[in-house]
Amino acid sequence: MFILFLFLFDRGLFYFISNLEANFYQESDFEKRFERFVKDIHFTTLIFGTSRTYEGIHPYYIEEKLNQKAFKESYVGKGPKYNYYFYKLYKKYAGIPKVVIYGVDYFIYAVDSDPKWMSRFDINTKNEKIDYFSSPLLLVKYKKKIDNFLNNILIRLKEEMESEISKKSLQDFIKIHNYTGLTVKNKKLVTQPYKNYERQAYPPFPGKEGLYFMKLLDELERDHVTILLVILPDFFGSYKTNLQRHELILHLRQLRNKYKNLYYYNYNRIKKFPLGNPGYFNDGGYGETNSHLSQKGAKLFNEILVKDIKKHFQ
Amino acid sequence: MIVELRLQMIFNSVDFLIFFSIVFSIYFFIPQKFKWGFLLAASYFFYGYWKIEYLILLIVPTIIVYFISFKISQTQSKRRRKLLLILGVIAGLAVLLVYKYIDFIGSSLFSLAGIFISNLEYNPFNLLWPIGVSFYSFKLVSYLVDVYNEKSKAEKHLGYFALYVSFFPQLLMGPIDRAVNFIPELKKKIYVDIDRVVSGFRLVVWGVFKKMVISDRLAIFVNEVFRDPEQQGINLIFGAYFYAFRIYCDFSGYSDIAIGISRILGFKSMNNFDFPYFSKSMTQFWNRWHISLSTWLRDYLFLPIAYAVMRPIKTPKLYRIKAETWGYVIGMFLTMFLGGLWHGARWTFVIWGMLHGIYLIVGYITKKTRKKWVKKTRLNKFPRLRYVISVFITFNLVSFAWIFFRAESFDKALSYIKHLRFGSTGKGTVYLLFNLILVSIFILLEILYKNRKKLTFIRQMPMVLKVVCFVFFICFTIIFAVDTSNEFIYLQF
Repeated sequence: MFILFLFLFDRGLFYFISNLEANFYQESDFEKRFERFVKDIHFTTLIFGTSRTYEGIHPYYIEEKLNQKAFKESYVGKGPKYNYYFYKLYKKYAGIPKVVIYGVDYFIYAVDSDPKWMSRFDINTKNEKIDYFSSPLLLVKYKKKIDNFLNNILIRLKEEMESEISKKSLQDFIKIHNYTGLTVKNKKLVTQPYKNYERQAYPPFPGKEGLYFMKLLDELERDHVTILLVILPDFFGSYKTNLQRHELILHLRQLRNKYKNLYYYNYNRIKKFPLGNPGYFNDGGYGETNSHLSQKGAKLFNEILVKDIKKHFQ
Repeated sequence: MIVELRLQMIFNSVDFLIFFSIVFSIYFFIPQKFKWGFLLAASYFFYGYWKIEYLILLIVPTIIVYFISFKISQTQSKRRRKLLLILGVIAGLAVLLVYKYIDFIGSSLFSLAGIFISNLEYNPFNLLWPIGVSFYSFKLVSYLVDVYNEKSKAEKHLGYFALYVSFFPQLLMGPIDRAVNFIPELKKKIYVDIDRVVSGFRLVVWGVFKKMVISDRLAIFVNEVFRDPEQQGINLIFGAYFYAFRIYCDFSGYSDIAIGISRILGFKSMNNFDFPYFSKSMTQFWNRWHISLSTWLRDYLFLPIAYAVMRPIKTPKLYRIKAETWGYVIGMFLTMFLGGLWHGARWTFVIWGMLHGIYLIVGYITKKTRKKWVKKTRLNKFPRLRYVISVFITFNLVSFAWIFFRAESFDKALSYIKHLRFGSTGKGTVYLLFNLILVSIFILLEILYKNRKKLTFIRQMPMVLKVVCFVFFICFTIIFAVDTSNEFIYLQF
């Protein structure tokens, strides 16, 4: 009796939550807000990437040094699939950019686009098929997804109550535009190697959303956009943790051979950036695949970057 | 000091689920006389899974204490027995003292010496301390003292004794069961009892709920508030309250899982928590909080110290204070000081312990005055109101002390207290409300659980409905559990 009820409740509650989730992610005002923001500004550059790019590449410096307006669309959970759909939306309201800077991470093909962000586009997430017999307990199997949904509910409520972002439609875009990085360290930076720290293999193409990455590059090529793939610096500990870095480089070389307008810049090299300086990073280190630049680190990095990419704007 | 938690088999991990499923499915098919051996092997595997070389730090003190206690029981000479006891206690506590406290003692001594000598620098050993050492060391000591005081006989069977020390459900975070309760359980015939297994399983689920739904969810808010106490306003007050619930749910959750697992395997384990936040006084709080530790501290620290203080006082009063009061005050203060230190080699823990010591002493000294005051204000005519006020005051005192327990340093604790205020900054309001709902649900469930025997509707509920409620509770736990779970706080101790 216990097992039967457990099975039924698990399926029932999972079905209920899935429907609730699909309805929740119908964000309606994003397109309008985006249109309002971009209509009077002529952006020449679009920046894609994850949180590493969000902390590492800042439109502020691109504007200051190159006199180019850059629109940054990078954050946690903004994977290749999200970027592909966003580019379509971007083109519709802001036109075709001159340059796209894509912050490439070691784990680019292990990234999933968060449903919270995907809900911005008119693609139906309800269509994702769920096999109701794929696991004895679906609530356990999809625990991460459910947790993500719960967090997103809280985040949305927080936004509604605290900064009223959805009402003051432009506020969040402006905030991102003026952002130059975190000043307070809130995470751990593992500066010393410890015995048997876990190293990370390179998640190869296509991985989770690699095919969308290719679709995006194809589209950019068709639109004659200059594509700059930028490998951001990692703290030395993370650099050592990600042991198959060369695999990523080989892959980027293949892409460069395939696409005429594609260039790649690798700053995850000691020659190019002081990877060993903990003051330039907020987190990461030995055993951590992921490190983010601090405000100080981002300033130095952007100064180097703008010098290197200047030629693409001339 | 470093505590490495990466590979250990904590109760809320998949590794433990697999391990326990295997143990459970084999255990009842093993003949009675080999059951202890199987459990001992499982316990050593459980411990060795974290760090196999540290097994030796568990096995060697166990063997030494076993032989010494045996020797104590055979020795008549009082002096020799005392000497053996001292040797045994040193052997039992050696790992704890060396691995956990050496850097604390070293750095404290160097800081003290630094007042007189300049350029003195302490190089820490940074030893990785064996998890659960604080718990199994206390088991060893209590066993030795009980044998010495002839409260229990020295166990002849090394295997039984080793299993008492290393029994895996209790190994990492207690309860610190007494040998006199545990070893006789081992000698009983253990058979499959469905009711016992079901009740154990229920307790495990309740423990998982407390840990993964309440404690881990509250941790998100608490960590943020403690990380940056400036400009948090009222969040700091709730941060302290939520931390009180977080640590309670974390530790009592673990205890419930440990007791539940022991019950499934056929063992009675001592209760470790008895609704401590419903306590009317600090004394009552300590009778209900971490009972296995507080009774240990009472029996093996407080009472010996108190008697040692009172013994030389030959007159009923010394400096107009009763000998009994001297014994209580000194005994309590030292016990709570050491109790604080037991929680960790950090001064914030010591301050937490001392604060509780002060609470208890003040409570003891003002007992009569408080009674008079209650009469004067006629509160004794409103027992419920008096109860609510007492519980409220006790809870606030406890929550205040938790600030020192949680803060990373004394300065951070002071900064936290300095910024406490009622005004809202509007920051984190959603999370605050969400946590308030969580805590309210939890308190409601605790009240229901506390009064379950009085509530006829629970007892008279049809079996099908009970199963439905239980299944719903399991699903609720899975849905609201935090995905990446935190380790149990008491694993650090």
